[in-house]
Amino acid sequence: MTKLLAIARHEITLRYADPVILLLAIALPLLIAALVNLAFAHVVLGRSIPEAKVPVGIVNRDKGSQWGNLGTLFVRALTPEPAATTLPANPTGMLRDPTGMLRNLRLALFAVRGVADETEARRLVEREELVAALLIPPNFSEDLAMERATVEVYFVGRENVLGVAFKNVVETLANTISTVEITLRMTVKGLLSDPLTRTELQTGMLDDAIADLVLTAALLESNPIQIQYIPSIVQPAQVKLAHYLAATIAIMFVSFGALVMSANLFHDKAQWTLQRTYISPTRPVIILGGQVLGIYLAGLIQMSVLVAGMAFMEQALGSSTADGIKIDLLGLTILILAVVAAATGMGAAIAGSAGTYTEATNYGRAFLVLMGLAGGFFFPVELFPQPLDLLSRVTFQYWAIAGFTKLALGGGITSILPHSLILTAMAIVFFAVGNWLLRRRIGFV
Amino acid sequence: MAPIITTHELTKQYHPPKGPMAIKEIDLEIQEGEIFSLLGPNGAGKTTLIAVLCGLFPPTRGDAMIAGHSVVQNPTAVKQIIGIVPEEIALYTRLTGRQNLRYFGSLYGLDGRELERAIDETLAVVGLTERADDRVANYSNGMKRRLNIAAGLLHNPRVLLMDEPTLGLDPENRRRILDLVVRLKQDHSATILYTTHNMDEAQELSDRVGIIHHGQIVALGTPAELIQMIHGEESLRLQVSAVSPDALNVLRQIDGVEQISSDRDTLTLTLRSAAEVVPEVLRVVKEVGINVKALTIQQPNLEAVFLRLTGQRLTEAP
Repeated sequence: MTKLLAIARHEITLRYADPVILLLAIALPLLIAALVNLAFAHVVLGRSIPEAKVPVGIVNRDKGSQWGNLGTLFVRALTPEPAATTLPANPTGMLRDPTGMLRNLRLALFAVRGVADETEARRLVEREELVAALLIPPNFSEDLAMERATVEVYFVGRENVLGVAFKNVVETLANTISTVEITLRMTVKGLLSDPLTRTELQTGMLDDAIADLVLTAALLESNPIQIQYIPSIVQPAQVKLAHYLAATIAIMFVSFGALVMSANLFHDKAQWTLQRTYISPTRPVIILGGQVLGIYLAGLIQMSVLVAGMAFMEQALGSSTADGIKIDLLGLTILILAVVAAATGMGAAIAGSAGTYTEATNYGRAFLVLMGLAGGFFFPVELFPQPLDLLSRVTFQYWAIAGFTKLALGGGITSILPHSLILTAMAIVFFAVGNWLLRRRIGFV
Repeated sequence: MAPIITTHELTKQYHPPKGPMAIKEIDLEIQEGEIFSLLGPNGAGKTTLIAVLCGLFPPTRGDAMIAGHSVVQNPTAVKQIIGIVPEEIALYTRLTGRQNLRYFGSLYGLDGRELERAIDETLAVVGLTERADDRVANYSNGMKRRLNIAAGLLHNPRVLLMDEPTLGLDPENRRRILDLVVRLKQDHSATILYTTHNMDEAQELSDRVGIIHHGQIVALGTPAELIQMIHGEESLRLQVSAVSPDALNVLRQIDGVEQISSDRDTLTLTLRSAAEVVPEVLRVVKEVGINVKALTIQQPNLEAVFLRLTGQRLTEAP
């Protein structure tokens, strides 16, 4: 253990003994981050373009009435189940979404999920796990019978385009449902009293007639369902562009550092210092373990100094805004541990693939920049076309930056746990590959 | 004296079965406390032999025992006993001399006061105490060589393997290293396996010398015994402008000329007796039109032995 720690300490000492390395590994990224901060201090990244569907929630507390539970009409109209592509039959067993309007309203944009209670729904919206929530009160069906029902659409931020879009969808849906229901009650009652149309009614040929009624009756001013929009006092969480870029700069430079340290094995071999280490009475596994630990700890030091330095610098430059977002320090620590592990493994894998110090540092850096590009270091991966968007998921840079973004948006440990686990798994795979390649390249290790 | 190093048919082939054979079936016995020099040109297999003895590479065949431990079966025990001074200056130039020694000492299990004491003592032995806290990058070449030796001495090894420790040094620094090697033997009773391609070093330092050529030991003995092998033959070295193959053939016909080697502008003739043969050689040289710029007669030495055994000079082989 003493030897392992001695080797790790030696690796760290070597890394930071050279003022030039200190300059390149610490001062340069801080300088770049400072310039980025000065340039983009007040630029905020736009809301994420939805990856697939916008998550929205529905809380249906409707207790129903003699006409049934009309709140479920919202649920079924918005729930993307094949069975619910048509409206369920109303108590008369006749209504079948005659115009297809409800089906069309259920845009592919939204992924709807049921939520147990209002408090939870509001919390999920505030944590941005949901874009908006539709809250249906307990007496919705009864109130609708009295033509004064209210539902609430809850979302954060007036400029939340997706939330507004969902509110509009609900509004249209409410128009349709209420109109259909009220029209149906009046019309069917009238039709049933007319013996001439009874046959048509039984054979279901009244759909067109009902549809016409629906369309003419679907006017906002005549809608008994009122959509209540309650803006939240919570400001929307946003990621400043400077923070996003600062994270990418830190990850990039830590990756470079880990790569150079792994590539240094070739340099040490040429200098015979590696051989000198291996011909000491120290087991190879201890030597290798100490070197990996040293590279990892050096990366951790670099990342921690960069994160702290960038935070301090932001304070010093006066660009820190009280936007209400507190970074979860435990989450940040876990994420940093995972990111540096992945960077260390990747450095070993690239160095092992290269075979020489020069190749590793030159081509390796270019490769890391390319991976950073694919992983969203320079612009969000959501802008990529679909196949490239998926490709980004195989880069550790994607998971690293996605994790930091989650934390910047106010996420806690649970929100970055998947990222940390994926990064750790990547680190193990990268290191296994790197170790195998390096042993082959070096020969005596 | 009992042998502290014994090798038996020690063979190393890189990338077998078709790769180059670096050393072939080497049988050696090195006694405790002696300085044993391996004399041979670059590429003869000296460094490979050292690398196999210190456990860096396993031998392809055969084995070596160092202080009773097999380098194949128990390399860790061997590593604890030996110290190595590689041909390369195997130091971290970004670190200070003391930091280098601290790291290499820790690999031998030294720590705390024991390590610091060993560092101070070793620095004193190699004469670097005052520069211990300077970065190695700022050392002269001679100082780096001395620190390179110090790193191999830290744990007070019973056997020191020194691979061309004076390579690239000026005469003054070379002298310091040679004196240091002698002191190590006298004051520390160290057994030293010393490789060199410099005949003077081998002749001056060694209790015994092994001449290695193409991975094989071609001669073994004390310097005096080896020189005796060539029966007092002397060398005539001629610096010439150009020599045709025909002229060389004529020179080979002269009675008393045992061997001729040609290296660019130098002709080396091994003579049975310089006093008797040189006049005849010079007469023939003039006759065949060889333009002689300079002439040197050398007394019998290890280089002459190497030349006699391999047909090549130490500097031109392999």
